[in-house]
Amino acid sequence: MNKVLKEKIIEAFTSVLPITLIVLAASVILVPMPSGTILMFLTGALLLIVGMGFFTLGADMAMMPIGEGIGVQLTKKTNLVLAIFISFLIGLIITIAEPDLQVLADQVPSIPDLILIVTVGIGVGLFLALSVVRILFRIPLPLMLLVFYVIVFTVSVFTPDNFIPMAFDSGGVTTGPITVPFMLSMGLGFAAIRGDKSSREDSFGFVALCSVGPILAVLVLGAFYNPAGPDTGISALPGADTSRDVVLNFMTRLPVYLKEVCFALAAIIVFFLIFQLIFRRYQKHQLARIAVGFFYTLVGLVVFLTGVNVGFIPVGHAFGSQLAASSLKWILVPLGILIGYFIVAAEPAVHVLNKQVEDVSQGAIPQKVMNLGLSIGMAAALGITMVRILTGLHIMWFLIPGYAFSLILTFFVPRIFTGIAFDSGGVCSGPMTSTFLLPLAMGACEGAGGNLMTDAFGIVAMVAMTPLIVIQLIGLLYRHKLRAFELIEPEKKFAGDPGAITEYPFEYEGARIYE
Amino acid sequence: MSEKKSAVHGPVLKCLVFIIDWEKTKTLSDVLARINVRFHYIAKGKGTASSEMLNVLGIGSSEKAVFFCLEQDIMATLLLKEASAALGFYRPRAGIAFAIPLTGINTPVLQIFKKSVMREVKHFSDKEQLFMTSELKYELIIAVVNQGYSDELMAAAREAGAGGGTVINVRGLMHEGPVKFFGISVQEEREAIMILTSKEKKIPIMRAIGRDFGVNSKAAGIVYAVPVDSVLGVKL
Repeated sequence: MNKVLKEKIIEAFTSVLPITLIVLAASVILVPMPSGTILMFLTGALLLIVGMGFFTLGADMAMMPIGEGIGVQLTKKTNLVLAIFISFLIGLIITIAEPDLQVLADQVPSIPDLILIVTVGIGVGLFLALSVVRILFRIPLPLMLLVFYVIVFTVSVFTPDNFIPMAFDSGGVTTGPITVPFMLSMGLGFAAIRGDKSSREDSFGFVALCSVGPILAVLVLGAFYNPAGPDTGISALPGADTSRDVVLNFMTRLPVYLKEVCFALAAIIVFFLIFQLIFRRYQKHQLARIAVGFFYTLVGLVVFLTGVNVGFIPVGHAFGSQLAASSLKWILVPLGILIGYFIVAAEPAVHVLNKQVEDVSQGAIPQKVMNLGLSIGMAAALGITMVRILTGLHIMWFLIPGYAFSLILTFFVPRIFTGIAFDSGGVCSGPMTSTFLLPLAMGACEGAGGNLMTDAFGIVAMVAMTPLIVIQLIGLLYRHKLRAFELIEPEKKFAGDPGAITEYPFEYEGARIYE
Repeated sequence: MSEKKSAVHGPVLKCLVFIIDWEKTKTLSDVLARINVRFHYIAKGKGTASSEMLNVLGIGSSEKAVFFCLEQDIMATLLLKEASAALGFYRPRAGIAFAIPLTGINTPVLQIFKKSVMREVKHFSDKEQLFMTSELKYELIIAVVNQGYSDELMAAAREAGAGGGTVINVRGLMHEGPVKFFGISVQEEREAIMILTSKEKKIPIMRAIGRDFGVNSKAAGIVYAVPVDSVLGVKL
């Protein structure tokens, strides 16, 4: 079989399989479920595998080259106003196009969807432009993050309590499967044609800063709008008795996601065509590849979103509510940790990030290490969320120390890891989180009788926060490793004239000219 | 030749190049660590698709690791042998390896090899011959073109008889130096395509590249060839 194809299939399979097995096992041991729901779940998992495979292939072929190309051309143009304007525009377009944001808008009560989406879009646009300015003027990323998170926490004082978890959630949610590959590769593009020392570490940090935009936007909106009451965001769960019901359930939802994803990609394609007409960056072969890549992305995302929305939401919700209502409710904490550890691999954007990290570090930070770090982060996030749901602890008890600690870490960790860590916060919290983990948390919250707005929401915020700490801690270890390496290299000190050259003889037969 | 060689102080060095699947990076790194190769650098490259169709479908090319190692010529055979055992160069598509003879080296680096040469040569008898060619039968064609032209270039090279190639993204430093854009310096993106080929096919391939992707074309390419020996893993 074709090697690349085989790799993609194996990757997609191994990403989705563990979480599927865990849920299956738990449904047998802990929460018996109707076989229809389980059949839906299994079908969903299958769609997830197919979707994930197509999506990662498509992202490689279309989204990444375009994002990178835009980054490169903007740098080449050396026009500040243009760079800022285009970045803002891109931020706005891709955010409005992001399917994840639509989901969030549906869930946020009392703010009209359009106002929310445009505000968040403008937030992301501004911060994307700011990321570019940051690189050009060489403002250190930790400083920027410190300033903006201080602003975020200050604004949060004036925002109703109910709104805070949701605001932090939106930061993680908006950076989904469309935005992430695009922004990551744009960062790579900005770094690709630079010769200065900081170019490598500057490849990261775009997603990091852009996650701040939505948080601020929703916090500010929250100060103006008064949330009336919780809007569960979970539509009536479709039941399924026969295998035909299962297929019908998926078929009825498919067009909805097809429309959403088409809209999202159309916005990007239009932008790309204008870009290509102006810069003529891509040659014939590449254009064909990009076109096919867009098609893969479309197929992949539609299949993925349908699978996860139809197959995973009911199971997640049923899981949470039944467990929390039972006498075994504390088992939610270890179960959450287990699910968290394995679910991160099923987030499509995570693969894009891990690959990017490996590329930029030329293999020095392998994908395995990133996977492990993100898994630990996710496990911690779910553990904390489950404890919060069961005890009703205020989210700020975790957010303030968490962010304070990760911001302090930025001053000790190699810069490149700060960028990667803050990027991965946004990357980890994608469609898997909003369609499986959020319903799980909501179900648990309902079962335990907690406040949905303050307890269940906030799970994305946790998922977006813990990797900041874990990845930076890995960075700290990495730094020590580098130091140890430097110490055992005494041979580096040469004796004698450092400019001396030894020549080897080499004989030419004499040159010929071929006309 | 022999008396000229004796005029050189210290061991003769070669630049060994391995081009293997990116996933095998660890395997080769381990081999290099075991044999104690002091200077090796890894670049990430991209293999080229064997057909245009596969390329457009996005499943044609895979990621490659390009290793550049500096080693004494007497150690090269041992290194190639060990690497071959670990990576299976005798199998098709397992990767390739070759050595580029050096014509100069800064002397301080040589001192390191001097120190270790006695110790390591002991466990290796130079009579052992590998299934590789030691004479200069092969050449490495290197073409450096503007970003985005590697696909077309490979298609042309393939028509002229090239078996395959590896692309590495590089940055070009212009004669005038980099352009400054506030805090950052901007350089040209270029792609370097490495094609290993036999002596007979060298000229047709280089001509094909030069004709369509030469200095006067949009690709603004330069193309040159260097002699290589100790070639492994190629059937040409």
